[in-house]
Amino acid sequence: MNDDAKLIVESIMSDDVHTVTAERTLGELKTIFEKVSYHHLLVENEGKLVGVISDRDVARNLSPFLETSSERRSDRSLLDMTAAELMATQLITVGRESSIDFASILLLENNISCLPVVQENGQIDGIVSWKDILKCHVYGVEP
Amino acid sequence: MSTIPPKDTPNASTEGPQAGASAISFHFYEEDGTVFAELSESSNASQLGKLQLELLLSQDGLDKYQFDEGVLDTLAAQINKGEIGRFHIGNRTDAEIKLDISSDKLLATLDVIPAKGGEVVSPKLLESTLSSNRIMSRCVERATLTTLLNDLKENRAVNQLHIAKAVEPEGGEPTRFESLLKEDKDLRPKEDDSGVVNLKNLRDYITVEPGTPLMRRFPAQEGKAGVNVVGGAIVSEVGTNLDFDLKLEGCELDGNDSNLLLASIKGIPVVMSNGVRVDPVLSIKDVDHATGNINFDGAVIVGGNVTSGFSIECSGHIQVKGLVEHASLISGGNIDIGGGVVGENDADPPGVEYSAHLKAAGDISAKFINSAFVEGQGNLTVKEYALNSRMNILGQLQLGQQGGKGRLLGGQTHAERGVVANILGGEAYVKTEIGAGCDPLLQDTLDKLHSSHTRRVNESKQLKEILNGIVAAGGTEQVGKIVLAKSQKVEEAVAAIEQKVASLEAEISAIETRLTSFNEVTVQGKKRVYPGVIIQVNNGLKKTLYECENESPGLTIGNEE
Repeated sequence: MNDDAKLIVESIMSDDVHTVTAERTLGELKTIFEKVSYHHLLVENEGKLVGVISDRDVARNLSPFLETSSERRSDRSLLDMTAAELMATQLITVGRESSIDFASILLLENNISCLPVVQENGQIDGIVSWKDILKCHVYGVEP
Repeated sequence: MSTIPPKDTPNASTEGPQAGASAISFHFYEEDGTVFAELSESSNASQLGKLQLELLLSQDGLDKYQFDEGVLDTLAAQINKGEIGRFHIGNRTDAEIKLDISSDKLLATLDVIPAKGGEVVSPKLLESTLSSNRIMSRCVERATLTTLLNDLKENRAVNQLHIAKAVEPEGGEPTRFESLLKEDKDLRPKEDDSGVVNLKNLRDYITVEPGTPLMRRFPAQEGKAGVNVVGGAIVSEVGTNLDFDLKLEGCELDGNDSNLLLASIKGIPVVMSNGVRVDPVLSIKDVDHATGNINFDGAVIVGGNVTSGFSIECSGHIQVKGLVEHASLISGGNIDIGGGVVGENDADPPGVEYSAHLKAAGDISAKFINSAFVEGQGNLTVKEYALNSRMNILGQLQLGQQGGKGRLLGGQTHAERGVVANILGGEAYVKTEIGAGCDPLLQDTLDKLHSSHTRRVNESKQLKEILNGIVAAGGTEQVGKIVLAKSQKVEEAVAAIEQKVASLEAEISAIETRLTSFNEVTVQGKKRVYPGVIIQVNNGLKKTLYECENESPGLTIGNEE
């Protein structure tokens, strides 16, 4: 692999992506985020990206009284909200062959922490986070 | 033995009991070392023979002296006749030493006759004998001398002993030539990195680049003079002086070292006795068990055949004058096969594995091809026929256009620049798939390049919008005490993407031009086309599919059916 090939998103992205469908409920999403170490889930429909949900999106929609003595029925009913209602649909994405510089600028200037990697037709290829890019800049590329 | 009588007054001392025979007694005279026999009258003396006389001498302690040949037989006869008197029969003798030097003075030979009752040869006498004959001590071997002294001490005879030998001169060293090439003489199969031993991979042929040291010359050296047994010098010969054979091709002398031979061209070095020839071509009679597989950086000429199961892989052209049977040829240039290619395809599914494989970066030509997998980036020329083969070439396939039957039958063929044959298919309506024009994958490649181009253009637009915002905000951002040159970084990113866009546009343009060039490509069966032949011509975006249903006297398929 030459140096140019190493400086594209494909070389640092994760292709083992956790995706969910738009029908998943807030309760299910809460359970998922409680078990995993990452902060974003890609919402897909037949393999194509339709939205992104972060753990903050989930936390923001949970009632603070949930699972407390003050819990009300309306608090629990919030758990039935679907991913489609919660997810961000203004998607900022990159492709496998996008440069790491391009991805870095998108993250910084849009104040987001990860970018889905998709094909032209929206098919999900992977995800790249600010941590992946930071690691690349700090630790460099093995010659 | 009785009292010794005076030598000049003989006196009988032995009397025999029988009339007619003499009595005998022996006497040794110390003063002159002589032995006498005294015969006297006897009335009862016995008849005696030589053996009895020897026994009597032994009993008297006289057998150690020298007795002339036949003297005891004569004495016995005298006794038995009854003669009387004194007879001189023997002597005390000292050992004798005799040294002989050959006429060329290269060898001294020693003989020693043992003493008979007298003095043995002393070491002193030996030394004086050698020194008086001027024998050089360095010419006498110590072991020989030790053995001789022991023999002399034991009074043993010495016959023709080479007591001294000349020290031979040491001849001068002739000019010596030492090859500087690592020659793999071990023709045993070797284990590769994966632990596999291929019995056909016997060796790697070495190639040299211009300037590679080939051979070093060590000039002739003078010899060392020898010496003959009497100290004369023997002149040594000077070693033969030889020069590099500079008539050999592909080599030259190093400008700074006249004893160093360098390669002047790239090729295979052939080491000779006084030089190295560099052949630009590796010539082999046959490729078989004697040569093993050939892997060579250069061109290869095979005068005979490439035997079943063997392979040639080289960076230059390959020429095979005979047949290629169930073998693989991979060339960085052209492949020219005087005979044909014979393979088979027993794989399931058919068309995947062939036992004969040709792959060339240039043109390929053969008399015939049967059941082979052929890949070429140039043209493919077949004189007689191509049967049941899979052939993918970037140039044109020509069958029988310079003589020969020119038939294409069975298999799958794709020739980007078209096919010209005399006969397509056969009387048995064998399925014969023929493709021409652009590789279907080329269009896929073009589509991907267009997609990538569109995406990079959009990315450029995105960044420019971001850049506008940054510029409007002053173009920089302060992080702590550091001022970040944001606009500069984004401008650089935009420039990199636009450079990529330009590169993609060049690739797209090249492929589109290439696709256009396929407009005139055709598949032609000049004399006959049989049912079973399927022709597909991809002239860029325009595709033509023709399936022959009726025998045709001649046909050309191109842009239009």
